[in-house]
Amino acid sequence: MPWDPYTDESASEPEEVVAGSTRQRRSVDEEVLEYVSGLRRYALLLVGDPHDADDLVQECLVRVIAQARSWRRVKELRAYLFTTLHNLFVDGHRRRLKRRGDVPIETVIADLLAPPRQQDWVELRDLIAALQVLPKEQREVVLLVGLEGLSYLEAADVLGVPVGTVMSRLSRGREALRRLTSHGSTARLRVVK
Amino acid sequence: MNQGGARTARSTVDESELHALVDGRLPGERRAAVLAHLLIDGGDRERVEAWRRQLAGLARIRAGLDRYAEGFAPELQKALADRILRVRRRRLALRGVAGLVAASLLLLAGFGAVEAWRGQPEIRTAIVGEPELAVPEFPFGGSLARTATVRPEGDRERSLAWLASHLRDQTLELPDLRGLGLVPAGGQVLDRGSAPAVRLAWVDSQGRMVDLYVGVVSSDAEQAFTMVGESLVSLHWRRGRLVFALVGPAESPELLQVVQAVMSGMGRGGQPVPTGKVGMPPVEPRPIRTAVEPDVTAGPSPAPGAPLPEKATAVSEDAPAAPVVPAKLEADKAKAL
Repeated sequence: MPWDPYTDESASEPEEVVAGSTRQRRSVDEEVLEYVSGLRRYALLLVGDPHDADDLVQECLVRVIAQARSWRRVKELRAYLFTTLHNLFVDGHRRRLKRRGDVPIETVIADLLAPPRQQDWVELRDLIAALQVLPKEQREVVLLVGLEGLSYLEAADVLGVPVGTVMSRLSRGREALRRLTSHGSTARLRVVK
Repeated sequence: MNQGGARTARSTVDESELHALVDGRLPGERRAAVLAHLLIDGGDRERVEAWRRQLAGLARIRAGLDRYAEGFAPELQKALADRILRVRRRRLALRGVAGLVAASLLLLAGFGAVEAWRGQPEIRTAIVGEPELAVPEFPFGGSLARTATVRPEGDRERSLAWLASHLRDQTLELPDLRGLGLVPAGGQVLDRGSAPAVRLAWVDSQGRMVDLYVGVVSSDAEQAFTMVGESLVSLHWRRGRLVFALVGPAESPELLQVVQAVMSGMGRGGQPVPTGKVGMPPVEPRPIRTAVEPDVTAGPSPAPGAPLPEKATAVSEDAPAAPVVPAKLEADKAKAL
């Protein structure tokens, strides 16, 4: 059996989202609140601006809660929430781009992080900057899978694309991140953006 | 290792399996093969290591953002909680009213009242105030939002007489709801739709409006009502060629009795129906089968609890003495109608 370097403790298991009997007994409204943190985290890295992110999340939550019906089973509530957020993000993406200023997003977001070591801070800032440079389609997949732990199938459902498209976007996105986070690449590609 | 995902003769590992390995989603039977591949393919090993570093970075970002994500914007949480409470209250109120209406129908059926109806009454309910709901077409006047712009063309009796002129085999009786504490607040003809319809209005002791929409349909096409507003509920049903929609506050238990009163007096075939109720002053039955021309002079609307007027006033946004309605309800009605 070869050595397996990929089973370290830091590997986070994706959260199981299949509806169980317990969660089916609870209301959608109550469950929605459980996902607020994940939605806000995802939205922040997706749009790069805390205010825009919160606007996006609030719009998403209000829409989902308003549409909730007692007779409608929401078996995949997390995927449903992220789908709504994705749709709102796509709808407002162009508008947000127009409003986006010159504030370095990676600095804004990195400042929101709990104080890490200096070296970590630099690495995280580079990673955040690289994420912002990615095309939004790739950024969504990278974040849904890597940050929020969605399965490929769940990510496909959220984005409304085939699983094969998710895999290709994930591959391109990760490769782009790899190039971007190599020495000097981030600054160069930010100019391209 | 090929980048496109297809397996090559040199390697039996494809791109998706490398990602699945990194994401911890690779089935056990393939895990050993992929790891063995990485031992001999330095390029893929480097890429996989880089992806792992990305994931580790995202995990640190996620952990670092926990404080931001969970402790941020408490006003957002509060706004959501408030919103949930409002939705839940409306839902509970709706269930209560819908259950009472259903029970009422069963009771009426038990007493044989249904036999006198030309068709099985169908009661539907809808929560109003859901901003994302599309507003279906109001059967007789476009959308209800558009009916709000219709100017009154007479009082309740005249409106009902006008509607009755479109019927040949059913009677229309102005429901007397005084026993339920509802004071007449006007009526108007809705003549902008594809079918004749009227709107009759009452105000309850708290100043809340209760609207009854009655229309004549020419086919059996299913009708539906949905209105946009806050804390309002619509109940609708059908009897023969008549379609009814009752709109009132969702929390009002009197809506059930209003439905019963309307059912007992409006739309029954042939025979006039007494409108007097136990404990109420006798009212002269006034089955309307042909158009009549009552005095249409609109007097001031009564304040809640005031003596009943001889003539109902017209429903109009610019009426000189509109019923006293709380500001919130007025705003809601503006949205609803």
